[in-house]
Amino acid sequence: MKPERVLVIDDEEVICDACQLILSEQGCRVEQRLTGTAGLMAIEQGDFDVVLLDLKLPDIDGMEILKIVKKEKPGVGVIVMTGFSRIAIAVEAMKLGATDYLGKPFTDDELITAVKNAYVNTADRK
Amino acid sequence: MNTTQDLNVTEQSVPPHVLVMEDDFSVAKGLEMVLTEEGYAVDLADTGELALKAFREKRFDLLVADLRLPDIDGMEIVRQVKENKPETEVIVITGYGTPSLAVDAMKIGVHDFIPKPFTDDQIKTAVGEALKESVQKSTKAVLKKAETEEEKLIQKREVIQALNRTAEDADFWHDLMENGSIALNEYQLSNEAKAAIASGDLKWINENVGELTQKQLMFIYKRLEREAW
Repeated sequence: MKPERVLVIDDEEVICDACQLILSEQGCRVEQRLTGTAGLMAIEQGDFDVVLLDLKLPDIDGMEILKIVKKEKPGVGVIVMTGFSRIAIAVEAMKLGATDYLGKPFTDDELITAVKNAYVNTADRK
Repeated sequence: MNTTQDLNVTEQSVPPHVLVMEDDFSVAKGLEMVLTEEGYAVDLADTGELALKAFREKRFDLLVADLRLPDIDGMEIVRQVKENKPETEVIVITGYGTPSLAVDAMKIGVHDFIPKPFTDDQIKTAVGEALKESVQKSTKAVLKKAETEEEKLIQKREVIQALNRTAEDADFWHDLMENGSIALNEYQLSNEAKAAIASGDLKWINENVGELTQKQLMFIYKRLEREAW
């Protein structure tokens, strides 16, 4: 079982491109957005299975985006990504309903496993 | 005493029961003192084996779990507790935490993950919040059970109404005999209940509805008679 549609929200284009490349090879259709606002619009209009969400975005705090997504579209799996990995942040993200947490830098396998698990977990709840 | 804790102690007739699994004596005694002052009943276990024994013997609302123990990996104890007693809330306390370990713990259902050293207020808040969630989960479970009981009562009433109608409405009798479950579409019945009535499954009806009157049994007998032919 693999996710059909994945959205990557990260202001670092190189991260978005890398995620898109890796997940496309796994058969996912991947879209990317560079700001929180654009990401939220894409989630509202699209039908994504999994969102890869950077916590540090130029316009909106990633944790706020997580709250909105879990409230508005609870069936979407959200994987939080951050370069400033701390226990308190990981715990807060998980409490808010993130399905996983990836500290940057992460490997291809870590990304693929997290996305697959997020899809399985959220598909169970749909 | 904070608000969250007030809620727990006043809403429950007995104080919430907390097991502290910690091999560091000073930390364990400190937690016992702080949590007892908050009104909780506190037990201590300084090994994983003793914690499992305590869970076999008593019911706990919350486990405060250190991960590094002299005998068993604390995470393994947490996993067993969440598997066997999923209603028990768990707070992990550890001096060797990483974000990855915290995420793994949260994935198996841990309510909070607190790195050592922590303050009295941190642990009081975490315990209060965990127990508040525990009360909310219990309330939801009770409501869910009530809904199920209500659904059963509604279905029982509908089965009796449908069977009474078979004795009073010849067209309905004929429709049910010829078309089976479809004739019951206007009733709030599960597919299982519809099939039981349409096929004359007396065993199911007796088990789920109870004894029937002669009037209600007429259709069932006729249906079984027809089946025998």
